[in-house]
Amino acid sequence: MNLLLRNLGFRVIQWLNFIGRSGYFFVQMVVKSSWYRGFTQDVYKQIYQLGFQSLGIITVSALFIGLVLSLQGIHTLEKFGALSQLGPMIALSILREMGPVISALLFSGRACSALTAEIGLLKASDQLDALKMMGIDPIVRVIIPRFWSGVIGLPLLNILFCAVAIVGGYWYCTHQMMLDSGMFWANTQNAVSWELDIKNGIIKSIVFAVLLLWIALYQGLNCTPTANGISKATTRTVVLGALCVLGSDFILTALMIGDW
Amino acid sequence: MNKTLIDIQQVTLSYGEKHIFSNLNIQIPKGKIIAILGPSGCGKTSFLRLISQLIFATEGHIYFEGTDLTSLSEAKMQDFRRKMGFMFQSNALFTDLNVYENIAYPIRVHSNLPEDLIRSITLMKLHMVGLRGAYLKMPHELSGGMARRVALARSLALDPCLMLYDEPFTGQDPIGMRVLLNLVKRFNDCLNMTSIIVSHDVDEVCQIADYVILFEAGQILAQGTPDELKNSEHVKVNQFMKGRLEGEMPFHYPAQSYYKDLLDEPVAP
Repeated sequence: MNLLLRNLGFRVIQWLNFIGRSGYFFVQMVVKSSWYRGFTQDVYKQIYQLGFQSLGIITVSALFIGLVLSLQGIHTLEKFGALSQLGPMIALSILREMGPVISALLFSGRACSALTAEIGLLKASDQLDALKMMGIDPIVRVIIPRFWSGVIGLPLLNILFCAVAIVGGYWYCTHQMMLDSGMFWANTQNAVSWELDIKNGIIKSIVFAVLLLWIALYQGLNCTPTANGISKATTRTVVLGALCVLGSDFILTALMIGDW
Repeated sequence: MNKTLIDIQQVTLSYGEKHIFSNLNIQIPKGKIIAILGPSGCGKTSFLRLISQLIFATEGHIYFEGTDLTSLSEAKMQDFRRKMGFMFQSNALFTDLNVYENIAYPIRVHSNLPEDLIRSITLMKLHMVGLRGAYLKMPHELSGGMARRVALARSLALDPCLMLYDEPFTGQDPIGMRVLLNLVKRFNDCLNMTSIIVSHDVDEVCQIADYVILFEAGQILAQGTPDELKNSEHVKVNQFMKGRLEGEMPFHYPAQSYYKDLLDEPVAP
């Protein structure tokens, strides 16, 4: 019993320690966010690596999701004679949920895992200590450009994801299933609201980006600087990232759904 | 009497139960080359990292030109680190930058110099280590010896007054080692620096060192000029300086008896 309590206490202290350290890290990232000579260039470079290089996986995934959603929608809505609502169904489910969530999950697997591994390797090869020895704060020069580029990049990827998925869905139901194109767009336009659907989707995407980048950079910076340590940190980034995206999606949806 | 650059007072460094240093007292005089010797795992690299505050002492004070580094905030410590150059055992070159950018980077960050002046300074640093012609190479294109020299040039980029060398001669061929020895000595004398060299190459480092400190298990076993230590009567000092196999300096990590380990019931690791 005594041992059980001691173990439990140890776990709680470890958890609180983790919360405190990661919270402090986040505050540092925000407080130290400063514009230095070359900041914009660093952010552009990272947007290219994190965002532009994720375009392939985002576009192809979005296309298939749009196609599948269209296919499923036709077969379900047909039973109720509600095919005219196919456009709104595709657009709303993509804009409100699938776009932000799936683009965030793909971004986590494609870019955030690479980010953790990169920071971990910088640490393992003493490059972060080398920066410190030059009087350069690694948080400012390494972490912050990556953080902001992710926060800018993921919402843009989300917008692209939504556009491609809706166009994919449109193409399937009008060109393959011969539904009326005008009806698709007219009903979609009537159902989709900028304020409630598009803007909320982008807000979700920004929140996911902050969470994912926070997790990825913290895990990279605090990993054990060995091959095994980096591998574990990368896994933690993807697992924690996915859980945080899905968990925070529920909270955000609960907050936003009152308006819908 | 030389002025003291670094004064280490009653420094203790522990990781949990494990003590790396306890109550360490060392004075590093200005302008000298100090060699830190000792068997593997005795805390030599930790000593360099303590001075540069990459790790923090559990107790005690480290004074650099009279300023207590242990009481400084991280932001102020960054300013002090600009006075120190650190040549890492792993070289720690930025792998995404070429040789030129590796050296120009700290200059560019810390100065408002025009780009053509930064270029001149960078090429001068590279010329000092004989690698001006390799300025466009990426770190992975360099041999071990060349990477070492680039790391040396980069650690000198901000003209530090203290140079910390962590195993600078590891993996060097005899010519490369001779080149590095000459460079370390020449830079120390010409640029009026103080150098602390952690090394296992006793004979080579003793050729250029003014003073040698020999560590054993986190304590100073002996200190003095290279000749004093080479001629020491102390059994362990003598064994280490001459690289003798037999003696009191242990090769094995502390363990229970070999007999017990082999014949007793195996214990799950």
